[in-house]
Amino acid sequence: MHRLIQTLIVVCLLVLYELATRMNWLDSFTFIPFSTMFVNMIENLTDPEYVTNHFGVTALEILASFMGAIIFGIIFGIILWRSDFAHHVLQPYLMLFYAIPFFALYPIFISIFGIGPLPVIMIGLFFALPAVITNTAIGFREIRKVLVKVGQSCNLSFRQMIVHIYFPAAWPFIFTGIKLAAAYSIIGVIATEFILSARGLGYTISYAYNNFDINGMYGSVLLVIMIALTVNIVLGFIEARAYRKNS
Amino acid sequence: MAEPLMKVENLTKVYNSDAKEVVALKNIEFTVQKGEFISIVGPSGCGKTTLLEILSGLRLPTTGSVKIKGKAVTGPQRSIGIVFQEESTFPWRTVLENVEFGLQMQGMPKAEYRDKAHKMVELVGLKGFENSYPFELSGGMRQRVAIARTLVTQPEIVVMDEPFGALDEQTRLILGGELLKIVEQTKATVVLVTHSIQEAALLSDKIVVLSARPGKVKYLIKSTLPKPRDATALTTPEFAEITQKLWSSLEEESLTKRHDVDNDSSRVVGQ
Ligand SMILES: Nc1ncnc2c1ncn2[C@@H]1O[C@H](COP(=O)(O)OP(=O)(O)O)[C@@H](O)[C@H]1O
Ligand SMILES: [Mg+2]
Repeated sequence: MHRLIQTLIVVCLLVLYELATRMNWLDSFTFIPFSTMFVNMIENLTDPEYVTNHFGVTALEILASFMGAIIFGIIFGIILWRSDFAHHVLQPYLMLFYAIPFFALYPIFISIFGIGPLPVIMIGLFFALPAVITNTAIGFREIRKVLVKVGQSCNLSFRQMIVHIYFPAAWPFIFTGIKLAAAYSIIGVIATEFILSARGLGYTISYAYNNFDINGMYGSVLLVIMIALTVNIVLGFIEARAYRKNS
Repeated sequence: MAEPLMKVENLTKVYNSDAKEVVALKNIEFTVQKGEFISIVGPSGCGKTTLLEILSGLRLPTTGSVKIKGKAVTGPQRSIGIVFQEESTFPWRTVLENVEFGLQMQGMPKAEYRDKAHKMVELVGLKGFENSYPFELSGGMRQRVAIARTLVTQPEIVVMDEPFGALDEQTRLILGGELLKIVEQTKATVVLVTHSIQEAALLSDKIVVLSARPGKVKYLIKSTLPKPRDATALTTPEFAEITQKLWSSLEEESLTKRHDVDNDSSRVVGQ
């Protein structure tokens, strides 16, 4: 029932928007009909050059920064949990991280990583990393003591404790970090492509905008939204399964 | 008398927290014979959980020792299994996977531990729930899972910390009776902490009564109830006699410590 109403709201809004643009209620230099966006997106996706040079590049950059953030985030999160020293030294910086305008640092990334996909991936990765680190460390720290004792009473090794007790117990927290990381790495990659790339969806959006190609711009914007939605649906699906067990 | 399976000698435990010393246990001594069922009763906060954790090697005593077949316990080992007071099933594992845990960690081949876990699940009366997750079960069922998870590794001694503490008296006695049957089948030696006098009287061969903190052995009561026992034992004169003894010893304890109650009340919550 809720699902139905939610879907209905989206459909109604889209129809309303379509109508508003078709009837010229909205400025046609800024807003184009949804159907035109959609057609443009499909047209783009049938262009092999667009798919390899822009869509493919962006998808791989997002994937790389997302995966990197997960792997390094979990490793650093475990270090943060194990070391009181690291915890006390780094905690304030992690808390402050999202308060500073990270993208202002992009020239530093260019001078370190050059141009091309590497600085884009690194900015996406760094932007997403703290979310995974903090949530992993919290998850490991908040574990119920009795579960650790069960592990100890079975004489588990450190590796067994991590893999079979801490990790599954902390999974709901870690997964929260992963969901945030997905959003942050998409933002990081697209935003960086706006400013320092000659390839990728971010680049096509800013290029089309600068050349008054409103249709081309919305085609790419819609594709970015589609990517974000797909990632969220997949993660939501994984979470629903994990939540069932951990509730 | 044969050499005891477990020997607890002159055990003392002092906690140091915030520069404040808490003497949790003082000069505890008792022995456990192979196949015996021993209960430990005592007022809340007298150190029962501490004692069990020391017996199972999870904590070290301040002084004194625990010996199993003459060998000092210095850490967790396979010959001792523990069932915790709190809810301790793994929420991310099914009933069967929970029960398999210990054997799987020991590196036993999958076919073998799966088979053993199936039998143990059946023994604790959870057949049909193998693939359920803990959140789908009642508190009593979850505690059976925890007990099965410990028993399946076939420890020589099983220590249990108020395993039925959260349940009502009736369910507790029923589960206690089932526990006796299971223990007889697995031939385990049991040290059980309980705050239920009836439960202690019904299940035990020997009952250790601890004093209020610092916990000291106040009485050792041997049961004369014939074995095997079931709920019918509840109506025998022997049962009445043991519960009477336990009642009066615990009553004395709470009377002598009445002035302490105020200090205790803050701590009792959540213990
Ligand atoms: N880790 C600990 N650090 C400091 N004091 C503790 C700790 N664990 C228990 N205590 C104290 O030791 C006493 C005995 O606790 P416990 O063994 O849990 O008693 P019981 O299980 O009989 O209720 C209590 O006063 C408790 O506050
Ligand atoms: Mg206790």
